[in-house]
Amino acid sequence: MSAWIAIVAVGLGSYGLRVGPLLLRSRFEPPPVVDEVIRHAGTAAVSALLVLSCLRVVERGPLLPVVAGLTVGAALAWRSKPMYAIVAAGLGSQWAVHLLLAL
Amino acid sequence: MAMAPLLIGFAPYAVVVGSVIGAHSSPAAGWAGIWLIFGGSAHLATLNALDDGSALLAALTGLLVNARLLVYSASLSGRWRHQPLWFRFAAAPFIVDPTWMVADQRARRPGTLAAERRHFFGAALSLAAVWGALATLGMLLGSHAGASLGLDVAVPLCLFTLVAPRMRDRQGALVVLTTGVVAVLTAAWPAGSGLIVALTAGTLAGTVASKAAS
Repeated sequence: MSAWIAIVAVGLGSYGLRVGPLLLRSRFEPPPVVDEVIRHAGTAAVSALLVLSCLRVVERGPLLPVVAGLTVGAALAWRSKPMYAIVAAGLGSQWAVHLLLAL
Repeated sequence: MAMAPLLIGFAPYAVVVGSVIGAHSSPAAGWAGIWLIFGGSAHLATLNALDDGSALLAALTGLLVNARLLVYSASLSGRWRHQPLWFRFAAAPFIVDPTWMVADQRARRPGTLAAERRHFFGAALSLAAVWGALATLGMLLGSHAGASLGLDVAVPLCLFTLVAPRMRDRQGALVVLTTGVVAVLTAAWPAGSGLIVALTAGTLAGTVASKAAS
């Protein structure tokens, strides 16, 4: 029962977090500084998720193939390559290094 | 189509979330959370906290992890302020990292309000269908199904494509680096609190840099 209570509470609360700003924005126009803060917060949110997801896969290991995949992906992203290419090259590099280490 | 690479990226994560649901003592409630919470990190955090404590603690943990949705929604609110009320109510449950990324990219291109609505719902429903199906599959397959092939690396690979363009100006680079350093330092903090601290630090650094530049 407590699992249901927690899941429903998080679901309803998350809906509130999602819909609240969408409804409030139509009622008043925030000052430019708020837009600036929101823009930076969006960048910060994606950056934090990136770092935490990197830590998660590095912890899962094995280290060398994971680092190889992430390094290739980061280099391609820096060169503005499309997401398909980045995911394919990153995963491919990870598997290739894994295979090499297994030989 | 805009969602396709993100679906590949988040697919292993969905399987991992599903495997955790399958191993939980209340799999039915966990499965319902796929749709009710619609966010992998908060879902996992809630299930983990349920194992460790009360429903209240688990709910607070999940909401803390999902606090970033407030930022996503706030950033979309300006772009969607001319959209009808029904759209804002109907789109809200689907606002999560990948749909926000897609909506953010779409908003930079010209188009009608109706086209923007179709684009968002197309992306959101594709994600919901694939996420739900793969999480259910993971639940049936059992533990660590996604991680065993190393497919979970696809999540940060997708996120690289969003962070890299923001590194090209000084303020953006400062936000990314500050957030990254604080996220590493606070990674072991409980209940997603480190994520919120990192997000706040990065936002603060960017805002101070903007003030100094203007």
